[in-house]
Amino acid sequence: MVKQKYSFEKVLDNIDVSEDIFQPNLTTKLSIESALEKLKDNNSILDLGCGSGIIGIAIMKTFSDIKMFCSDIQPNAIENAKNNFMKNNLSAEIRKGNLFEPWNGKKFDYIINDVSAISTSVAKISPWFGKNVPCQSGEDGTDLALSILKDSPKFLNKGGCLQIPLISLSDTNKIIDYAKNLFLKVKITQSKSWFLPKEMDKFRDSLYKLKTNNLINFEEKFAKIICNTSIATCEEPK
Amino acid sequence: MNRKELEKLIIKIINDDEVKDLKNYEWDSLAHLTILMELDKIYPDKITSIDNIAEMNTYKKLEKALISKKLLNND
Repeated sequence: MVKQKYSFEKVLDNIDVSEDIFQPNLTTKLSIESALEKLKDNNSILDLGCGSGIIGIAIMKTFSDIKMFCSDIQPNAIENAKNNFMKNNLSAEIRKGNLFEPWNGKKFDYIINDVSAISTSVAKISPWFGKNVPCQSGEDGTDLALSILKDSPKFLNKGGCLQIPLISLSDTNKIIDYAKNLFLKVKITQSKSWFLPKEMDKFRDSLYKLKTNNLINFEEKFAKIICNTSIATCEEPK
Repeated sequence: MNRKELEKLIIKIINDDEVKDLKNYEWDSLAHLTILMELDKIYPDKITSIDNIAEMNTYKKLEKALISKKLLNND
């Protein structure tokens, strides 16, 4: 049963996000919107790489009877997420650890991949990653996504679903191809283009170098670099 | 395209019920890109050639730019 109408801005207003953890952005918003379309009551949900906890909080504020599990590798994020769930009178099981490591032996109906999904070189010059936010996703931004895709079938209940972000500041074709090798149903549920933040314009040459090497992708239009974020759902592991 | 059609296109994209005065409303960069993409479909190659079009995220600025390129009826 849906409790109330979802508003990203309202959820954001009701949480605190420490400066040294990942800052919620468009990918966060699209991840929430995609999950809300797909989720059902009584589902158990894992938010992998939860950061401030915003995704879990948005979902729990919208759906009743959801069991929420969150994890992050960053101790500051864990503390921040716990405080935000408390602030919103919600409860979730929150564990610290790398990717699926804290959840050995557990299974979920819905897993949201919320970990770094852009090229490490781009992350370093972006405004989204604080000083201490890890981004070990490799030059093409796919390392963590591929690892999660590979391990996820072990952590999904029958009929379960893995949701992944596809950000054009990584090699999204590689991620999609890998997903299609592992899952029978891979579907894009959300897609949005966006201007690269102004403060990154000065790194244009480096970005073009990464693009030339097919490590990331973007287009240039209206004299600006335009990127894309999509969300894909992966169901029925092969 | 006339002013009414431009207003309609913008209102549809910004999708904000609380906008009372569109002429003085500054929309965000996501909405702006969507507006430009839509205008680009209507006027292929013409929108992208307008200087600083990516910064014109208010009705007044956009209206002025479109009129100067004869893409908006000045009526």
